[in-house]
Amino acid sequence: MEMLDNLWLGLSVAITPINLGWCLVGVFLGTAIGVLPGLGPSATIAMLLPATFGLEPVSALIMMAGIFYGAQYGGSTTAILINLPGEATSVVTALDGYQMARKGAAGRALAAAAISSFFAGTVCTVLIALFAPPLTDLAFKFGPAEYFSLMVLGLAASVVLASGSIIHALAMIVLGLLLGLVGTDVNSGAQRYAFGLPELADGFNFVIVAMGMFGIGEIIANLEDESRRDLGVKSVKGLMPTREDWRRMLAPTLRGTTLGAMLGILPGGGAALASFGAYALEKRVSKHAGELGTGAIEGIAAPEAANNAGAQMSFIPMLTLGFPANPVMALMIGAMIMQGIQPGPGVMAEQPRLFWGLIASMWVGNVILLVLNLPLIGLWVRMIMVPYHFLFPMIIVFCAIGVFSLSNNAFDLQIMMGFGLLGHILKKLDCEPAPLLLGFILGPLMEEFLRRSLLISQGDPTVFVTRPLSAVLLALAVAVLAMVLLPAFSRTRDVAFKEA
Amino acid sequence: MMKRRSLVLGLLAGLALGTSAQAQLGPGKTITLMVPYPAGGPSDAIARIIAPRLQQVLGQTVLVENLGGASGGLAAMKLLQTPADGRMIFQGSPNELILSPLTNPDIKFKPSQFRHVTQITRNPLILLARPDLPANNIDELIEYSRKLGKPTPYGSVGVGSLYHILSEDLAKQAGLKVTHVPYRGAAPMFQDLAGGAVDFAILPYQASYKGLQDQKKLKMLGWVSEKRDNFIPELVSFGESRSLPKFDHAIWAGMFLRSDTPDDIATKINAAIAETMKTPEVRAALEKMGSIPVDTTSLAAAQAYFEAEVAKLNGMTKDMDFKIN
Repeated sequence: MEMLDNLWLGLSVAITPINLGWCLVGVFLGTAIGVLPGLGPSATIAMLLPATFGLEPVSALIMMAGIFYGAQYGGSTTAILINLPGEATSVVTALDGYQMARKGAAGRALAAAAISSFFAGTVCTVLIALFAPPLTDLAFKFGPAEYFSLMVLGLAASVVLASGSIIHALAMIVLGLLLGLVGTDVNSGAQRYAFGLPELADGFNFVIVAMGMFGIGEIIANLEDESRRDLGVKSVKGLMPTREDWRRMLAPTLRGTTLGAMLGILPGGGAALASFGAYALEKRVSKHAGELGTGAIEGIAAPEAANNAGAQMSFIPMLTLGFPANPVMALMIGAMIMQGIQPGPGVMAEQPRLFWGLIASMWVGNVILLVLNLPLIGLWVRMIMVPYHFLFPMIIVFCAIGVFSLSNNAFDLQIMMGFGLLGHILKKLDCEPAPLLLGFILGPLMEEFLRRSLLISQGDPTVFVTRPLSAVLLALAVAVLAMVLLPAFSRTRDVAFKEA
Repeated sequence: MMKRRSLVLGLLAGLALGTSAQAQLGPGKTITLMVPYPAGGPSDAIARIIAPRLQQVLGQTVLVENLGGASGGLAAMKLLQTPADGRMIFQGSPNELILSPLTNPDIKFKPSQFRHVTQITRNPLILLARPDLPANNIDELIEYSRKLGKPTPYGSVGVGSLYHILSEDLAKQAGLKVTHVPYRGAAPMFQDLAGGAVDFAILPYQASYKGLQDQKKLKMLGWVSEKRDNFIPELVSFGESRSLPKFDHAIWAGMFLRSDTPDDIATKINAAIAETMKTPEVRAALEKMGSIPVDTTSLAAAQAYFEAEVAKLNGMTKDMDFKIN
């Protein structure tokens, strides 16, 4: 009953005209920057931070949250339309989304992304309102050993991301792991493969690698082969999902939401796994698994639901304890501090209007996102009808602006071009960029958790099997690998992989 | 020929004019307050509290620039690449200007390349422990660690940070065996401290610790100083312990310029910061976030303090062989 009162209080804060207005501004800005490749929510929020000091704290936070999930959604738009994932979480969406767009189904793909995200957002808002404190405690069951085993499971599952040869996929994962080694080693402080360049001291930025491998690489390929340039828009069939689409989206959306919500609770890198995990799960359990990779709506609904669920759940440690799970949450904590509010466990009791208002605004924001974006789909689809010789310079310019805005450094642009060339060469060799990016994201996390576990256990590797949660996760990883590698399963695997 | 020569002369004259105009802190010029960390962190908060008032005092636009990376090293190098005209003020601490070059061979600058204008804030440090540690104060922690039979794991925000060095110093003075577990910043470290993976950590005081202790997410063992601090007067200090009564440290932040910045410019900035730090609103906002505003000292005193800190930390790191192999 008390919970209903709280939600009511939150809703009454969130739907005052002024807060509704700021929520709209945030969601709109977030979508806009999400659509521009390379410009991320943290850069935008950092730029707008000083402007929020004049606002009431709750309005400021509502707007920032709006930017965060607006950008999450906007990032999928470019992934689907031009094969350019702006966020780690939309790499997977590009796999089937771009294939759908090429078949003339860009509108249905965008609608599927919006609808599954909205569903996941709604479910997670309710989960946060009901269970935020117990879910916070759940996260502390995960120590370094558990995180390492989780990453192993993620990597094992990722082998199915490949739509071509399994050897190529493994090679790409390993190359990604190696690229992730560049930068300062957390344990010794030594710099690896930085060649004395201070710009490489923190390693490659994900956005730069993704812009190069996907964005620039795709443009080179399109310029080389005239038949690829037709983005399939001459045969646009319907902007809204068909009855068949709705039926096929239902189960993947539910599975994606569940997986994303579970992984999103873990601040140490769970959200990064959510969309990859959801896609891998569909490859195993979906009735249409064979179509994944060629433009199946399941391949959009599941990862989009998972990444939105993960993003929503990442608010939990920030709200309940003041621990930021990602850079955007760190900025929101910074905004609270500058507004004179001390983030931490006290916020819920001392600032109930702020706490519940922010939670309620998440749902309001998801509604606005849906209302704002469904009518825009027609506009986005028309955007890719622009002749390619006008479109590709624009994409390059926006990629460059986005990458430059990361740290105002021209060196980053050179790295992006380098990755563009690498992406092109790999494409020639029939190697896919998605497994490489997964290795790149998971590699550094895995290394960090592995070495931290061993530091704490004084070098004893049995911690991974003596801690029950970790042992279960490792057993699952072995099971997944066995399914891929055992000959008895090889026939089904071939079917799944050779479709493309 | 004539034409070209006059053009060259004209260009040279223009350049000369340009540089002489830049050498002054005249009105109309933008001042950059460089924060060596991304927006949203504690140092960014300090800069954004100070910047608006500093702008009024100087009568010039003051922009806060955030340039994170390489533990503050990128921002420090950027300062060294700009002209020594006082138009970029670096808001730094011993972490990036003294300890980075001392402990990381890849950092190529030296503390002597910076000129300390004045200290601005001081933050008391606290010894924190995991919530279920069977020790409730400093002496009990030391006793627990001695009886453990294996090295005690402690967390820090990174290799070569002040908190890493102080924890090693603590262990050395108390004769403890410890394992350093470094993290990428405070957020993931708190996660493991609350989850019980590491036993203790030294960190700057934050107002949220009290609430986190009530929620059994961490335990405060004592102030890292001889006397208790007013933020939580009921919390004991190292000074009251039997084991390490002289263990007294704090982290501070200050304003820095390039070491070759002319005296008149440094004096002017010193005066402007002094004026800014006198403002009651600035002091109140800093105190609210857990920092203690420090009264501005003379340039000479500031430089002497900085050099003493360099010598002290140099000694501590040399004794302990922190050099990365």
